[in-house]
Amino acid sequence: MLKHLLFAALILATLAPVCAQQPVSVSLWPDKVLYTPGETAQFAVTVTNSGPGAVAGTLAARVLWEMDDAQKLPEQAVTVAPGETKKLTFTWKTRDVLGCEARAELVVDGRTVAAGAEYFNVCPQKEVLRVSLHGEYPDLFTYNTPEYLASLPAKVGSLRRAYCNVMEFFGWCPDNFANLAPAGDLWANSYYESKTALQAAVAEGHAQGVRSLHYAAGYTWSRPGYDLVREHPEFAVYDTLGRPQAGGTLNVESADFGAHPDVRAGYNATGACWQGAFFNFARRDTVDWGIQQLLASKRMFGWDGVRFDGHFVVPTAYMAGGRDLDGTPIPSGEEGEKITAANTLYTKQQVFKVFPDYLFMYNGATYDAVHNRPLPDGVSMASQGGLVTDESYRTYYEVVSAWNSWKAFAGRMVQEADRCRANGGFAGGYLPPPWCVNPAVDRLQYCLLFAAQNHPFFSFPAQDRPQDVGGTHFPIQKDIFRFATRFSAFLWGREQERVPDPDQVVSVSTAGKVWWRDYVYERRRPDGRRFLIVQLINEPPTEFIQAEKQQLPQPLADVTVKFTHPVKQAWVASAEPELNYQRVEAPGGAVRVPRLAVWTMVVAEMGGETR
Amino acid sequence: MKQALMLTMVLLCAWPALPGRAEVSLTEVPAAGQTHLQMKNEFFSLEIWPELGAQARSFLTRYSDREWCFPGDNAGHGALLRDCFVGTGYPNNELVMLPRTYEVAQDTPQRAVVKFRGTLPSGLVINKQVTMEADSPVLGVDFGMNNATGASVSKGLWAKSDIYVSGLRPDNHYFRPEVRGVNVSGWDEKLGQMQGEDFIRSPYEGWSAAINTGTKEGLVWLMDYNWLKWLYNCNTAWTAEWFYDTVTLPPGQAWTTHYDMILVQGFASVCHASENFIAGMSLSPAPTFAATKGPAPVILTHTLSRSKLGALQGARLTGRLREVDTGVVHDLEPVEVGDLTWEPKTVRQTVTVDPDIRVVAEVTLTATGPAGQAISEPYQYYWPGVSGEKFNLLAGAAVTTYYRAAPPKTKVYPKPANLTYYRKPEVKMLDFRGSYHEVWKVPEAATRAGVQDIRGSYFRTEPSFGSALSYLPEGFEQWFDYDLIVLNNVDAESLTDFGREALRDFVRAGGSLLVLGGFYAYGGGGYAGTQLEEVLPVEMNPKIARLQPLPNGKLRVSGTARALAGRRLSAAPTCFWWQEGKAKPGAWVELMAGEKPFLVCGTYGQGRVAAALGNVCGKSQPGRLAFWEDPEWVPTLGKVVRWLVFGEEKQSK
Repeated sequence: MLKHLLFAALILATLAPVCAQQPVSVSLWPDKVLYTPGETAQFAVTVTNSGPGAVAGTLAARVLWEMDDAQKLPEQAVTVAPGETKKLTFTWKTRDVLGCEARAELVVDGRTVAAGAEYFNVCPQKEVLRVSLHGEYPDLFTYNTPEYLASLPAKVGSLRRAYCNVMEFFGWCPDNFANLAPAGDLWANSYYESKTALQAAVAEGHAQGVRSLHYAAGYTWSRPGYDLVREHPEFAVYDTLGRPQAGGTLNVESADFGAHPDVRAGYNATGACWQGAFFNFARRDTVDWGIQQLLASKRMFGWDGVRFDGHFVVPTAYMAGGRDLDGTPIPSGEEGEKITAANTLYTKQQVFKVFPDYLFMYNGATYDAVHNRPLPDGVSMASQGGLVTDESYRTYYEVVSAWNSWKAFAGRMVQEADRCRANGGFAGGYLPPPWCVNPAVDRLQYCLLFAAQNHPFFSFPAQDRPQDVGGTHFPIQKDIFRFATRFSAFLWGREQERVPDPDQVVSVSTAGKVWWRDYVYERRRPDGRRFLIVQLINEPPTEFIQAEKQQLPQPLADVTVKFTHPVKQAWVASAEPELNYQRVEAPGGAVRVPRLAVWTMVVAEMGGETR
Repeated sequence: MKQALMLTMVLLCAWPALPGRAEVSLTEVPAAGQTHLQMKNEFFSLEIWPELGAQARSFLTRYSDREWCFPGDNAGHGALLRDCFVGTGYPNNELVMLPRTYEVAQDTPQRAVVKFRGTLPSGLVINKQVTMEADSPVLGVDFGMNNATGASVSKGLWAKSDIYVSGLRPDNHYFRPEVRGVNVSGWDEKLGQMQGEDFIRSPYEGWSAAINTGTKEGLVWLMDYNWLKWLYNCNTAWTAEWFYDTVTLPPGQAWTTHYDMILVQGFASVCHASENFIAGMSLSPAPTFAATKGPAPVILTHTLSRSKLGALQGARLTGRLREVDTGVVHDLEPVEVGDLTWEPKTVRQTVTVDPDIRVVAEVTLTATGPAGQAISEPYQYYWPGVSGEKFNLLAGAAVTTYYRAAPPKTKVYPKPANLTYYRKPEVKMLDFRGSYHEVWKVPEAATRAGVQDIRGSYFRTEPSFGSALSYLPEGFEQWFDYDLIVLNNVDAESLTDFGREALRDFVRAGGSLLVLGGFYAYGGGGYAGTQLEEVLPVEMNPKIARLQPLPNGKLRVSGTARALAGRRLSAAPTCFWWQEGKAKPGAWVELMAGEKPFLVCGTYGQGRVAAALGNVCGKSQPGRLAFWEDPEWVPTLGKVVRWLVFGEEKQSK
């Protein structure tokens, strides 16, 4: 008898997954990952009937934002024959609400039998970097061939599917500074490029809602920069002997190639003939030259903005002891900092006159850690929506780094975000390349980054680097980026501030160790609703970052977040194991989080003043 | 037997702490089919692996019980006494892993000498001899190259050690003498990492030191300053290295050099080292110093020990403290140091000076040497002030006001006998091509002038490894194989010291030289003080090396012209930028740019030289045609080349 029962149980267990499968599936795909307010979003909904009988019902679609704001879209009746796939389209005139979810449900006889959802952002072009999820355009080589041009939707789509909404074209230009608007269609620098292909890639990005930033820097790389120093020696920075000061190699043989690149022969790495010869941005005419290049490039390619890898700075660290052509030392120290900060503002001013919505992203420092003081250029870079990433902590995972402990790294993320947001901009986390750290480090660093109101920077699409040790960021990023897209309003909302005295408004109790005090935010919406947001981070199991052997913390059960003030309603949201969120009870202001893997967000709408 | 073994083990473990083993031991240690050599005296022991380039893969000292060589790898990292050739990195350096045979030349309680020998596939024979003596913390190394091939060979030795001093990563510091003072790099406690400049491209003396400031233990290397090109420490990799000038060996000739590695203990810094003594110096405000401006007592602390040659008797320090910015001098009270042995002595002097200004202590040590000879040896220590850089001349500091000229080097290159120049039936030109060389249109002009064989060599420069050319003739004969050599905006460094020597000999013997201006020529190219300065027909102003704009640089043929006599530039093209200089006595101006000499010609020995002080920077503007865009430019330069190659004989054609 027991034997028969066991056999029956085994049969049932085997069948259970099959029975659970729906014969009908619904999927939804927005035409863009990022809209501007007022655009008409199109949601392609696909209904597939893999069951034995026809399905007739109603397709109900709606758009959700914030935690529970929603707009229903007109329902559409649908009948799908067995084996048939039907495609329907819903449209929505977008509103300025940041993170959204579009959801479609197939309702049959009053019962939802299948549903699908996708996520996107809506944000004014001028402040797109508020919701920036930055990724690298997959190719360093572009070609004006039918095959290549036909591949662009998939290439851009690889970013878009991972929720990257800003893509950077790294190292694309004939020269970082001297020529951002090339006359010909083909050129070689360190890579091999086609103007036609780049223009098409930018257009494809726009079609999918992905903004394009082009790489640029205030130093030479290739032949045009080399020629610029000859034609305008007054623009360059010199050493004490009167030689142009450079951080990299001058290679005359490569320069000869750069003058007459046989681009038909394909890639030739010798295009990079002068790596990092510096320009003197203490001179306004040098800055003006750079601004004209930005404008010409924008007109030619349609970029949404620039990502500077060293902008019009006086002087850079490499430029120590640099001199003007007449031997006068280039201003350094505080005087140099002032000129740099003025250059940054001047550049924005000049570009905004022509392109008011132009985007500026920087690799630069906001803070002088040695002397413990903010840098004036940090204020300029962040102003008017600039996004600043600081490459100096990119190697935080190395044991010699000052930010090698998880606490130091987390603190840095918080400080960078606060500094940039206080000045009207945003902070980006310049994280290590994916081949340097293992997936646990990857997950922890992204969770800490987002919890701190920071933005990711330089993510790589998965298929681009399948050989990378430890995998790519994208398998991890995709889950987290999806979450960040849906809840961008609670990560980077406009009226959101870190609460300086978190213990006054909330307490967290758990059997384990949870980091939360740096991650309590108050958000006041224009409609008067007020929220407290608590990001819970399960403390990393090691003090120091283990690039190769890092483990994730053991998940915690029953974390209680107790709000001091009355709570109207509360939600718990997480990206783990996949995006999930729900409204929860908050008896006495206490919200119970049943499981904390690495990162969970608790949101409470407050009934009264919180502080 | 068991007890004896235990006793042996105890003694072995305790060895580093045991003083008084005043003997050298040399042991051949079997190791996985190879034989390693363990050399040991009372100061240190090292284990040399002949099969891996005769590197020392283990180093232990009496003062610390940790292994200094960091864990090695298959590329040979983690060792002392590493021999490499300049110009090739890892793991492809042909020398670093070259297997060596060995021969024990001496094995007595007083001295052990081992000779290592290897042969490169090219036939170049590499010799290395390591000498250890009893009672001495000095390890002597003789390195030699013997050209057993049939052709000249150009190689520069690159000596390297990968060590954590005292076996510890923190607190390692490197002290390197350079023209700006002693350049210190090393451990930064705050950052928890090594910081500082790696390359010392202007060495001042032939020594380098690695000290652990925590244990005060370290190594001092003494090498031949005359052949020393650069000192180097890869700070992020804890290495101590130096590069020698490239030497060109004609067939059958040899080159040798000697260096010493000295273990020191009790030094927190080193500011001078020689075969006579080793000195460290520091300057600090007296304990009573308050953080106020103005003169206050400061204490100069000297740490001194003997060096390789022997103990010194009756050592005495005299000297002065000079304020760098004002030149004001403060005499130092002489101080008697006494006898100097390996046990370092510390003496102090107090002087009243503003501790927050830059000063240099200029002292002289006098003593009686081991052979009774009088020793008087000066040295310096630069102090950046209390508020100055943490280290003396830490990386990035744009301190240029303290400078001491590097002493001249004296060395003799092996030269072939009976070397003569003759013009080849098919005129050959070697064109060293620097930035913007093509703008000058030299090959077109040279072809027009009758040059039939042109070889290009390309200039390259980068911060870490400096300048180089894609091709340099290997030996004197190869230099003399050309008729005309063009330096088109290439610096002196790229030619190498040997190349400059060969070029000078080539011109002196009758060869021709064309020098063209630019960022990397003349002062900017470091020509001053080299063989090039001697050969050039122009006097440079080394203080004004940089390019200068020429407001009115219209080109015209000079009234003193010989090569261009009777020629006119009808378009009056313009030179926009220029480098300061004038014709040497005996030289003459061929072309003027406004009122400045643009092209100067002259002779050196039997050879002819033309030098353009103008350059190709700038661009044509309305009414100002750049000279290189003038159709008359190539024929004009062609006339100059013709004069260079053929002299007056073909100028009428």
